[in-house]
Amino acid sequence: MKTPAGQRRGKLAPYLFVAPNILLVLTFAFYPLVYNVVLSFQDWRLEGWRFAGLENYLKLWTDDVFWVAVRNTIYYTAGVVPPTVILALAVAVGLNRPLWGRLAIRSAYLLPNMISWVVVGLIWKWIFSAHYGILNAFLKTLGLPEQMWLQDYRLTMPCIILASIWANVGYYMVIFLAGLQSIPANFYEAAEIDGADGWAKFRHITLPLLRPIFFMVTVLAVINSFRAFDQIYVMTGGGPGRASLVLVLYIYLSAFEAWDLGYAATIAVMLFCIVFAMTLVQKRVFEG
Amino acid sequence: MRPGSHRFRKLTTAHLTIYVMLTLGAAGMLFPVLWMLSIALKPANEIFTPIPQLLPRHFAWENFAIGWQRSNFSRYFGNSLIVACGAVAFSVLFNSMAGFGLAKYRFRGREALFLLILSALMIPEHVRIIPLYLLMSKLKWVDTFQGLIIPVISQAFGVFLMRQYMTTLPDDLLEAARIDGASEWRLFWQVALPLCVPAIATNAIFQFMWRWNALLWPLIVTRTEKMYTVQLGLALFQADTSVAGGPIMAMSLVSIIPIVVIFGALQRYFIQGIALTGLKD
Repeated sequence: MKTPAGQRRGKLAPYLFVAPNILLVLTFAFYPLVYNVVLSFQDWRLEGWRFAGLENYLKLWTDDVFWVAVRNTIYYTAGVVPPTVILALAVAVGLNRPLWGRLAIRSAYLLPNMISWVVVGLIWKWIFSAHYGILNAFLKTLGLPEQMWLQDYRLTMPCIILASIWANVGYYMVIFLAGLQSIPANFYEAAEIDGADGWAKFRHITLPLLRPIFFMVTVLAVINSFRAFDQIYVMTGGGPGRASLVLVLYIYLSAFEAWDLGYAATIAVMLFCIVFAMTLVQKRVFEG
Repeated sequence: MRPGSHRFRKLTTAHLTIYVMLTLGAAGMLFPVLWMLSIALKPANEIFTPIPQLLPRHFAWENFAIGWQRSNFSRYFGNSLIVACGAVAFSVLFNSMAGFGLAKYRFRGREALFLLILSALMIPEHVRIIPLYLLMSKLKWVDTFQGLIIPVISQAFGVFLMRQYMTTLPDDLLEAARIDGASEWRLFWQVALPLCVPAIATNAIFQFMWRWNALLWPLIVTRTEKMYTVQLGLALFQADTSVAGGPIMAMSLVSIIPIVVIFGALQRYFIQGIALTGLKD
């Protein structure tokens, strides 16, 4: 029989187990979120702060640089997500069969995803280097005109996008592979008996059954695109001019180079709203 | 000719096409990594040339020594190791405890607390950096290891992982130990935890990789060069012409070795972890 003390101990135990983690969540996730909103209503600089009402939000509305950052972030997302998702699906479908060296091939696609965004940025910065890069050397040997790549305001985003697709494909490929492996093999066998060829099987079995995962991957890729920072910081720092300035980079520069923390927090509020909305979409699809 | 043989031949052609495309794609994926390797092994005069060759003519092994010693990367690797291992240790401990509490007890507020933890997933680091920085400066944690580690301990991913796994542990096992007089902590530490090695491994691998590869938070919370992490060193020294080129690429190469080794050894956990995705915190 349990003693009253033992019962009390048993009742308290779960709370004690959960407590440290809850403390982390409150201190390092929720407190910053709330404080960030508070900051957005302040004019917070190193010299001190004052209540600013909606000033930061009005400034945001009329700040051309903010809208450039929004546009670039959307450009980046639109450039990265569709090719990444389609390539990841194609590779996953290709790999979802017994192949000689399957593990090695899968690892090759996954390797770039394990490399930090900083190193991804460094590698591609060298490939795209205008003076010492292999891409221009290749163009030169073909007799084609060389390009400035990252220093050309029209080409800088496509270059960053290409590097990011390279780094991302393997990650989503693994998610698709997990989804493909959950499709029962007898679906395909039944279709084969009915005389379906490879394309028909893909079109009528794989695609419909993979739809929830396809959607999840897309939303995830969009959310991750809105958080892009490291590789752009390394490759261009947002330049040339503002040609590759994205939202997170603008938050960083406003806060830690201009030290206008209130305004930077306002941009962060905007980014949070966008990402939160995307997460809700994702959740709805998950549950629906 | 049997009716089936035609179909078989068509199948093998399709198979072969897919195989060739996959292999070409894989080669394309590997090329940038091999190019990094090539630059890492080239002397400066082979790098800073308008027509760089695919392979180095003279192997410049000194690039590694220059990066490691003269540019102080040995220090940055040490710092990164401390930060990544620290984050792994705290994450594994706190997440396992929370996962155990949430999976193996019925108590008031259980669902609410789980939801509270999970909702941390919806607050990306990028929208927290400013308040976190102010918090760090108030605590005098700027430019310290605790500042680099504690705010980025896993808050939700690991808990979700551990809770899912611990739910599958049989209650009888815990009850039997309880009857034998084991304390609740012992149930967790000596009965449940040893059975959760796969989930712990997955959590540890991902926390290590995320912390090892992180740039944004170290960029904000460090001030002095002696606290730099590897990624920070790579990002900030790339523009420095005395280190740029060979040594930076050599250090980039070294920086991916720990992750590649862990991946090679524990690939299964990697793949399972990614399949649980959408949960990166």
